[in-house]
Amino acid sequence: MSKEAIIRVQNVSFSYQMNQEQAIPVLHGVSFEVYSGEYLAIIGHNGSGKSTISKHLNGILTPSEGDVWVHGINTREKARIHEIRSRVGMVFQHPDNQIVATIVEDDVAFGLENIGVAPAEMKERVDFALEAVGMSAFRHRPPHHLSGGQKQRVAIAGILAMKPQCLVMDEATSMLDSYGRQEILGVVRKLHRQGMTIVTVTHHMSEVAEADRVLVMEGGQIVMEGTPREVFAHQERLQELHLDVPDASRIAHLVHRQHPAFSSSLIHNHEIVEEVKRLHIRTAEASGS
Amino acid sequence: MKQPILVTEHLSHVYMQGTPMEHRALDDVSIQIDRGECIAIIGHTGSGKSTLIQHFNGLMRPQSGSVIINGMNVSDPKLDVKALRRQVGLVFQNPEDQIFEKLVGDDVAYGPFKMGLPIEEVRRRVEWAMELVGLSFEEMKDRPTFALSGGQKRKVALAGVLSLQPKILVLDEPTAGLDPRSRNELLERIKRLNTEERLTVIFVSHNMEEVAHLADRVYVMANGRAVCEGTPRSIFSNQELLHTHHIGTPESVDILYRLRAEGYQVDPGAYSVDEAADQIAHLIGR
Repeated sequence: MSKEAIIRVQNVSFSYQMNQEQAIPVLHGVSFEVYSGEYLAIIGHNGSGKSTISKHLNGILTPSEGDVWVHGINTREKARIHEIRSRVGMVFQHPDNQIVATIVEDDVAFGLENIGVAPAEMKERVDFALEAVGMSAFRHRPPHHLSGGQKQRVAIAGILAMKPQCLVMDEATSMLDSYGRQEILGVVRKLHRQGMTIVTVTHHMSEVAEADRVLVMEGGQIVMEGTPREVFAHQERLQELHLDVPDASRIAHLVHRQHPAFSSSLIHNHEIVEEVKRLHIRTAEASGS
Repeated sequence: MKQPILVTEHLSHVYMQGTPMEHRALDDVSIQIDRGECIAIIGHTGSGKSTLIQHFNGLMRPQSGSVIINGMNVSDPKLDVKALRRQVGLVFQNPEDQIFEKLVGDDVAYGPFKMGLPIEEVRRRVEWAMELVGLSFEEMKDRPTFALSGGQKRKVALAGVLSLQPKILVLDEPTAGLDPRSRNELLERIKRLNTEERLTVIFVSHNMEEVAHLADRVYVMANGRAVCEGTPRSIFSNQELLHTHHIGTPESVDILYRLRAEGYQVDPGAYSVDEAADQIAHLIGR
């Protein structure tokens, strides 16, 4: 993975202005970079500032202090906001809040119409985007008859049609059932393999386990950073931060306590199965000899 | 001993009847929920869960079949809907759908205030309801609702419903979008409302960990029908049922099924992390 930063967040502080006297501070001097092609997860409890920081990544919010640079463009440059958003697209929590048209393909084309893409190219991009999320068969359907997972795929297609380098998902799976979630995770995995940069804000630790790198937020600051395996090793610290580890990690820890040979650093379901196989074969050989 | 508090018989509902868009959302649903039970309703998107629970506080009236709640017939055209809604509190999936006052305290007070209760009683109930969901009355009552986090909004919506002191609490995806700690905290509070305040709790969920942890009994909905009913253990150990009706499993159950597919002797009905870990420890211990 190349270490070229496509988004640079520098010393960002942010407050929600309530009225003239009162402001609620949410972010305090946050700095990090999003590297081209990486899969970054941002976790933290409700109110830790993770959604607020994600809304800074394409200029929906601009910092009270500090700067966010997208491909060298400062998000404060309102005149270049379309350029920023065509590079960094965002999918939100509620599918219904981001679907605007009455037919799926019109919805996907909506952003393209706004930036004046020629009809021939528009069709090509809509075809590509619907294909990428596996929704081509639904292009003439009204979106309100789709399931939550299908609506989120349409929302992602609308972003893909803009050909961004980076997809930011702000709890995009939290309102979906487990099948809907798997649909979205499948699409995201595929996009990431094809080189798309992914930033995901989520409470689902099994989703976090798939990322390359994790940022943990608390009180508007980044308090931990590392690979999922490194971060999930700190089970107690995460619990203090109102977070959790995947069930696979909890199971690995518990089994490790009874059988020290069983690795405690597992984070995926399939790793548990492999570890059982590894040890089961060993004990079978030992008892057989 | 068992005292039915909510009974549906042959309940059916067809959306847009007589049009090409006709859709049978509920099809001959008969369920019985007893006083003090904690019931989960699960099923794939579009299985009819939301349509079903909207009958529980009179948002929808039966097209055919019946719904009887604590002696009140929801089909009765002269039904006192306000009285029904004091008995049955419904908390929507998206808390923003039911928060409309500027300040937290005012929002929680809205229901009891409209009931015409004396102001002291309103205040007492607001304080009680807020503390019950884990919102400090003194600290939070004057907070603007728009500046709350997702988890706080959900607690405010729940407090607003509890301030009416309902007998039955109906929750649509109570913990969607909450962080793990807030989720566990809210689940514990719901459990306490159920066991200590003797509230009958009915919740719709696609989080199977939550179903496993909370529910006494589970109804599985599919294509508008209640296709199966049982304890969480019996539901999760029925892989065919889960598979047929597109129902996810808790992560720990997924691990156990994967082990079983590899030929290991495990019981996938053991859905808690502790039980699953014990089974795995037992496997390699032999």
